[in-house]
Amino acid sequence: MVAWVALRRVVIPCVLMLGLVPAALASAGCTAGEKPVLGATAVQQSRPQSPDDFVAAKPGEIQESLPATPFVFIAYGFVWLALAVYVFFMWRRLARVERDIADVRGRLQRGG
Amino acid sequence: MRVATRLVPILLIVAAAMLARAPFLIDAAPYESTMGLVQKIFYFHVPAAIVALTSAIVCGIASAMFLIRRRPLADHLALAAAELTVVFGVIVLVTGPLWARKAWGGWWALGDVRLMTTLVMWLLFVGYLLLRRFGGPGSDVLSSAVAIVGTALVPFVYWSVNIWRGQHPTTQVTQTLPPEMRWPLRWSMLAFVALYTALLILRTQLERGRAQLEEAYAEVED
Repeated sequence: MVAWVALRRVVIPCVLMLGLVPAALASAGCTAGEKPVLGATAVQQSRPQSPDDFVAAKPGEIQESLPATPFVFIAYGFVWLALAVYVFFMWRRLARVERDIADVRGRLQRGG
Repeated sequence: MRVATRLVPILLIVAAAMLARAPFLIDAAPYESTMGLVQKIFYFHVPAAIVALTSAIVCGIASAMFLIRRRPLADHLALAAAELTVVFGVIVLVTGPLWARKAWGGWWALGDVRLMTTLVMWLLFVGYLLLRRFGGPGSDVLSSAVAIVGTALVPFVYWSVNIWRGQHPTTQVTQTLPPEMRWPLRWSMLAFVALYTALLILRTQLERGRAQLEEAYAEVED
């Protein structure tokens, strides 16, 4: 009985979640070899596709209508900030847990 | 675990030094001929994506081990990897649209399978964390199942771009890079892997510490 309950708790979410995969693909309206149609507007269809082979440009060759600098700065700034904030909070959480463990152990020693 | 703990400061120093040097190498790399400067987002976007997918796989394997053997360490590792999947996933999901806005003319492409599967996978791991936080007793087993499903999505995310051609570049792009672009990418990749490994060890330690704390509290109450 316990095994069945445990199995049910695993199998049912798995089945439900696996349904997300075809759902995601269906939302994109794609089959193998086709370009996405559903959900893509005419504007998206006309958007340029990224090249599969990146080719290095010669200096001065690039003419840009929309300045790329803000995008690059925001992207790199976000990466640095996200990692710094995560590492900072990780240290804080670790320090707090270590302090709490020391505190509880001290109480146990005093009590025992 | 002790060896891993000793590795953490070394890995963090290596990652910090490499990440500090990375912008100079990326700056020295040439512009891509059709996308120009904005393609340089690639040097952090791709390593973050690789690390996020690797982390999802780590989480799935650890969750499967936890379901089979019920070892707490596997559960702690799974939770740590899930959190890091979400963190590096956020980086991918923020830097990607910034790149797309300039290269494609739009922040997001609803019809692109790579983008949608990445988002679904990321949401699954967010769901995992929410389940762990608010699921109550037994959520460790249920969340392990969610993690396995999330891991099952990884091949879809990786190969989707080759099978259902969208606007996103295929996986071939990293294999055909010119040498002057390949070197900064490899450098960033190594930096991200070192950072990820250090954070994974630290986060697993944190979870282990929390379990010890709960045991100690139970002892005090007894």
